[in-house]
This record gives sequence, C-alpha cells and structure tokens, in this order.
Amino acid sequence: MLKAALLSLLAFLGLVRGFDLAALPAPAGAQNGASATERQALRALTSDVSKGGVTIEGERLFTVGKDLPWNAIAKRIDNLARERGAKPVALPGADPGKKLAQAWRAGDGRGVMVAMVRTPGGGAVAYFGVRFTGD
Amino acid sequence: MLEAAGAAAGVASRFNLDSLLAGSAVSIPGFRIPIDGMGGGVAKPAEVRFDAADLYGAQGPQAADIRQDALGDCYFVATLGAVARQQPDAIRNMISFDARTGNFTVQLHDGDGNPQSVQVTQAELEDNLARSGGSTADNTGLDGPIWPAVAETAYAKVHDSNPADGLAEGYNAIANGGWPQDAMQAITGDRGDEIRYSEGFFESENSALDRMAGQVDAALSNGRPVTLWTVPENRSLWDKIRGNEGTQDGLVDNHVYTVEGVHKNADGEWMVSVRNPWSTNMNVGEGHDTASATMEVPLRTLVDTGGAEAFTAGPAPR
Repeated sequence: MLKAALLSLLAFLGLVRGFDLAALPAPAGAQNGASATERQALRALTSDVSKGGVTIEGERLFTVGKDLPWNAIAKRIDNLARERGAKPVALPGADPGKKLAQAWRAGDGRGVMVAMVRTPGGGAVAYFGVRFTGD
Repeated sequence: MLEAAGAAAGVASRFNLDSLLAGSAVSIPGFRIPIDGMGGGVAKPAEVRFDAADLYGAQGPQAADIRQDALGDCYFVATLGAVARQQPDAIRNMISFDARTGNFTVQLHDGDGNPQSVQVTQAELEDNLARSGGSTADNTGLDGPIWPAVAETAYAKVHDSNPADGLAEGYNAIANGGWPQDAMQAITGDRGDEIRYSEGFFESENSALDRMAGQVDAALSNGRPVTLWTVPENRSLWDKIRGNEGTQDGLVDNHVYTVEGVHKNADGEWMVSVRNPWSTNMNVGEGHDTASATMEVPLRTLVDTGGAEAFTAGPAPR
C-alpha cells in the first residue's frame, strides 16, 4: 500500500511514467479506430476471457494489417508493462491462439487489457484501461 | 497429388496417390471410407487433409517455415527453426506419417532426454491452425509446410493431462513463455550448452567478444542449432524512475531468436544475424523495426546493453 501511494505521488509529480492507456505506443502501422461491430466483439472478448473480472474505463482502438502477428502486439505491451512494474494477469477464460487477449495489473488495482479480433484485412485491436473488479 | 473440386459441401478433397498405392483409405466426396478402426468397434470416418507430402516444401525443412503468430512459444519455434536450419534431416527423422490412420508421429524427448513418441491427429492439426500456431500454413491457407504445426501440436499434447478433451490445457502450458534449453531438450534430447559473455580478470572486451563470437561460430560450423535468448537492456536508476528505456539493441526483449550466423563486418565488428520467429521485426519498438524476418546486430551492442542473456547451442548432428 505504501508502495502504491509512493508510486502515485511520483506519478503525480511527473517523475514516474505510469503504465496506463495513454502511455502505450500504437501497434506498428496501425490505423486509429475500429468499426462498431469490431468494438463490440473486442468488448465481448474482454468480458469472456476475464469472466467479468474487469471493468473497462477507457479504450483505444486500432486496425492492423495481416503482417503484424498477435504476438508482436502483445509482446511489446508485455515488455513495457514489466518495465513499469505492472504484472501479467492470468485470465480465467484464456484459450491461447483462439482468444487473443492479455492483461497486466499495476499497483493501484487498475491496468490494461489488450485484445484482438481477426478481420479479413488483419485485425481489430483494443487497448482497454481496466479496473480489476473484486478489489 | 491430385486435387479435385469438392462435392455439395464445396470442400476441396485431396486424393493421395501414395495412400492409394499403399492400400489405405482416403476420403472421396459423398463416399467416405473409414480409415480409423477404434478398438474393434464401429470405424470412424475421417478426412485426411494433411499427409506426408504436406510436411515440407520443395527445399525441405527450413527456418522460413516458422511463423509465430498467436502462441507465446518463441522458445520452442525458434529452436525448431534452428534445428531445421542446421540439421534438416533431424526434422525429417522426427516426424512420420501413417497413411492408415492419418496420424503423424513425433519423436520428442522428456525432461530426462528420453525419447517420447507423440501421435498427432488431423483434428489436432486443424486445431493448431485455428490457434494460428507456428507454421506458415495458417497464414497462407495452404496445406503445408505443416511440419512446425505438427511438432508444436505434439509439444502441446505432452503438456496436456487429458488430450481427449482438447489441447487447451497443453497450449496454456506452452504458450506463455518457456526456456530455450527446455525446448532444445524436447526437440533434440540434449539441453545444449549456454554461451554467455564473460571477461577474464585481465581480459579486454575485444578479446572476450572474439572468444564469444568464436564459440558461436564454431557451434554453427559444426552443424549445431543455435538460438539467442534476449532480455531487457540495462537501465540506469534514473531511467527506471522516469520509465525511460535506455540504450536499445533493436531486438525484442524476453524473446528467443534463431541464430543464422556471426561474422565480422568491414569495421572489424562482430555482427550476429538472427531470425525472428515472428517472420517480421515490426513492432519491436527499439528503433530498428523492419519487415524483414532477419536482422544483424553488433555483438558488442548486445553485450554492452546487457540485452543478450545467452546463446544456446544444441547438439552436433548424430
């Protein structure tokens, strides 16, 4: 708790780059935005893999091409998360390769979930700022 | 291999001439010949989509057949790529196909290096493709080269306590990271040797780099498969506080690459050529993104930044 408070203070003072939605780089070559259908599918995926264990508090949506694999998207965020002290979360509904979603949790009970649904042109990707319910 | 347009279902069926000559059954539109007799009971019909002819391309098993898409098993598929590059016959000898059953058999090794035979069914292969596994087949829509999918499926299967209910458990076990030496042992039966940077007490950096590069070069020259395990580069305390990334080497952190070679460039610097199992180096985010699957990185940079944990050199050809 003390660590979380200290991090919050340092973040407030601008001395710590937080692990939050705004700080994440977009996937390489991505276009901003996704269709309403894709957005709905991404939100449904998030709810499914987390078994309702997260509340979405913010979102950034992207469209990516076929040449960018899911692993490249998730790995970059994973490396940033670890660098900034966030920890990966085991998702209860995980199904590798079929449900493309990963989540990381920072010290304040909030975090980020990245999800992707496949589209004919490649994929729709969401960065969701989430709060982990049950805290 | 003849291909004929499918029947009412619109599904292309494949006639396997080898299977016909071997006397095994194949699937013909509208007239399924059962090929899998389960314990003497009623035989189950089966579609045989993948067979021995789909395992490799015209040039045999190669690292370029690897494309890691949606499973987090870089340590495994990068090692497959390294073995394919250095010892393609080892890949050929690892996988066999039974035309009678439509199953593939993969020879992996357990944690003690003992041989471990694993059957992979057509359905399990289709499942691997549905998961966008480590082959190119799920990207191209073609039926091959399928050998990475076969090997990866087998690896997931040995980590699954009940394959009869699907391989989600097995993929959960293998697709969230792993260790290069574990993969080397599973594939070759030998954990291999780690080559790490070190400086002797009075040794210069140049000498230590020469020694390290020499070890990697010798391993490759001797036909040994080599991978590179990368980790986050060193950061100063201020970098950590500010969330800055420090000096970057251009490679993905916490990843495993297939090593293709080491050589000295025109300036006399050792360069390491590596292949990303992603088949691309886009979205690495370290200032050297490229669509090419391969990259060259100065060995000195890897050492100075601390971004290289170790090379893993597998066994020589048997």
